[in-house]
Amino acid sequence: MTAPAPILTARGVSRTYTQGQVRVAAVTGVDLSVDEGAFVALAGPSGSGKSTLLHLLAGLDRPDEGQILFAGTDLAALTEDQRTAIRRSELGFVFQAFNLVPVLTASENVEYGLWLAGVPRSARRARVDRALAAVGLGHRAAHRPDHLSGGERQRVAIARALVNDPKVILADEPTASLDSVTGLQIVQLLFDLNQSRGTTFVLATHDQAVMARAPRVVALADGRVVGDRRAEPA
Amino acid sequence: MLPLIALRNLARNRRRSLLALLVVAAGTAGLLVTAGFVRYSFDGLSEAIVHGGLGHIEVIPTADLAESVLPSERAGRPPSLDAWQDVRALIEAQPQVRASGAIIQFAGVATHADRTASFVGAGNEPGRMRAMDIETRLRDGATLPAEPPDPGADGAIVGLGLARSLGVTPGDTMTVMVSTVDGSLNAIDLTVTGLFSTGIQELDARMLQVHLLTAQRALGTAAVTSLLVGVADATQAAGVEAALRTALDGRRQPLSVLGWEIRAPFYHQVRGLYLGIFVFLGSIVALLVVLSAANTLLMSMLERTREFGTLLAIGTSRRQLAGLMMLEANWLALIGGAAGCGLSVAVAVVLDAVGIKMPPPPGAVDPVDLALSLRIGDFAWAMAAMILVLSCAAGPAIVRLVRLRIVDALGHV
Repeated sequence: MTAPAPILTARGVSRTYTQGQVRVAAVTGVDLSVDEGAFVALAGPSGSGKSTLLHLLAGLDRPDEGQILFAGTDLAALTEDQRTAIRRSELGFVFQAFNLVPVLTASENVEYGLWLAGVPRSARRARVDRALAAVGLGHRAAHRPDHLSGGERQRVAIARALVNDPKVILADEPTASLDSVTGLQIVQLLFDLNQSRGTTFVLATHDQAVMARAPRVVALADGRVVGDRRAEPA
Repeated sequence: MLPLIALRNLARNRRRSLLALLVVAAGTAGLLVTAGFVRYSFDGLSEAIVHGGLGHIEVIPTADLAESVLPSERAGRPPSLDAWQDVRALIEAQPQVRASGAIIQFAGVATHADRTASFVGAGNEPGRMRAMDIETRLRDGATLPAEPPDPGADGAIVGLGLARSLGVTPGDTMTVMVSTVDGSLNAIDLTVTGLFSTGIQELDARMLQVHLLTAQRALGTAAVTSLLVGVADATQAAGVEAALRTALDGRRQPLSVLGWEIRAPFYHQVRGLYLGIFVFLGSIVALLVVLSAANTLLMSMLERTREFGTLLAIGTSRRQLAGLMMLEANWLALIGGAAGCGLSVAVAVVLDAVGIKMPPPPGAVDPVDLALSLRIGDFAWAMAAMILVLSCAAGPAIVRLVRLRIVDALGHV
């Protein structure tokens, strides 16, 4: 049996920020390989570098040292337009604060990603309906974000991330703004999507429930990888 | 989807958007009202000049234009258009020509009682002048009769300023002295039938009008200075001018065909002054709209920094975000501009109903109506100007957007 190919790879990645007069090493010498179809949780306390690593993996930021490879391509070697194209069609994002466009309805928020990808209007409707149905929100399609609960907003955000069938979905603390019950529902949804669609998930989290269920947990502390636990295959 | 998002974004901070729309509407209305008044003034002035005695077109021997094309500066030259009745027949054969009337310009000295003043005279054919729709604005007495006067029964109408200088009123007799075409001095008694105004102070102080035959008798000639031409449709005047040049080309006595604008420097002075004022006011309005709208758009952009970061993160290009901001600016321009167009129409209707008078333009005698002459094209250029102005106003916000770092924007609170 062949091992799955890595879809995301970090090689000796470091990133330093300057805050006022202080230089902060957010990520230092991180090596990480994420296989296609994997579900990886980046765990660690606040300030451990989870979000920074997630941004680097997404090509939203450039490392000071090292390389980020997406499907074997060095993101730093691409132009901004090429990185934008990858984020548009190959990556999906889920944010802690949902980050929906408040003037668009749930279905329009999901449709926006398809519009960006150049999907014709005639094909968009059905795909939006499918994505919303996949997150159990078909009945709330016409509502704007301010008329949705936190859990519903996060489901819309997941549908937006899913709608272009990306290879990888990166989620930054997706349950942090939700109550525990809703958070568990969202985590279950992400696991289900990972299993049913084979989409790769990389989550930054300090939610114990997520960490307990994630097949792989990469622990970060002070910007370094301090642990990499993989669950035994069932 | 961007136009939809841009339009809905305007409703996010309604008070701020409403204020920006009011500024755009007021700016648009200000531009249109000023432009409408300037055009109304130009139209009124050109009508006054053409129908006040200049006519749409003048046909004159080319040799008489050596010194100047201005009628007021040719008065000392003896009339030299001799075969003028043949020329007139050619002119009146042109379609669009309403009528043509001969005039003689002359100068001399007028005396009444113990007062003497120099004058510039015009001998014309009152019946044909009326046919050309050239009306002398009579302020007192009666106009000149259309029929040629009998010898010894010559009449004159006198400009208000000249009448004041001489102290004449209708019914008075004055003596005018002129040089005949052969250089001798001739004097003739004229009965003042009426007083008139050209609408321009400078001319009123020097002008008198007599019948063409009176002027010919005084100067001892059968020639005339020139032929004025009245056109049925003023918008066709340039075409008639060109046709006359062709028709009169190659004559034994070379003739020039002059439009009214070249003979009316006063019109150009007033037009230049008004256009200067309009450009100055328009620039101030544009600057105020730019500053106000730029502030609105920049505030709107800064408040949505995290949203823009999100849009960039999920694959929106910076060009698309710049386009989104430009669309928001253009929605402001379109909605505010449309409101401004409506406002200007309302102002025009109100002014028309109220009937306010404005002080006369520089050098003019009569007050002018405060009214607006608006055309469809005005609304189009006003909207285009607002789109341009608002596009400039979007500049600072777009620059910030283009420089936005995604990770910083996502962390923006």
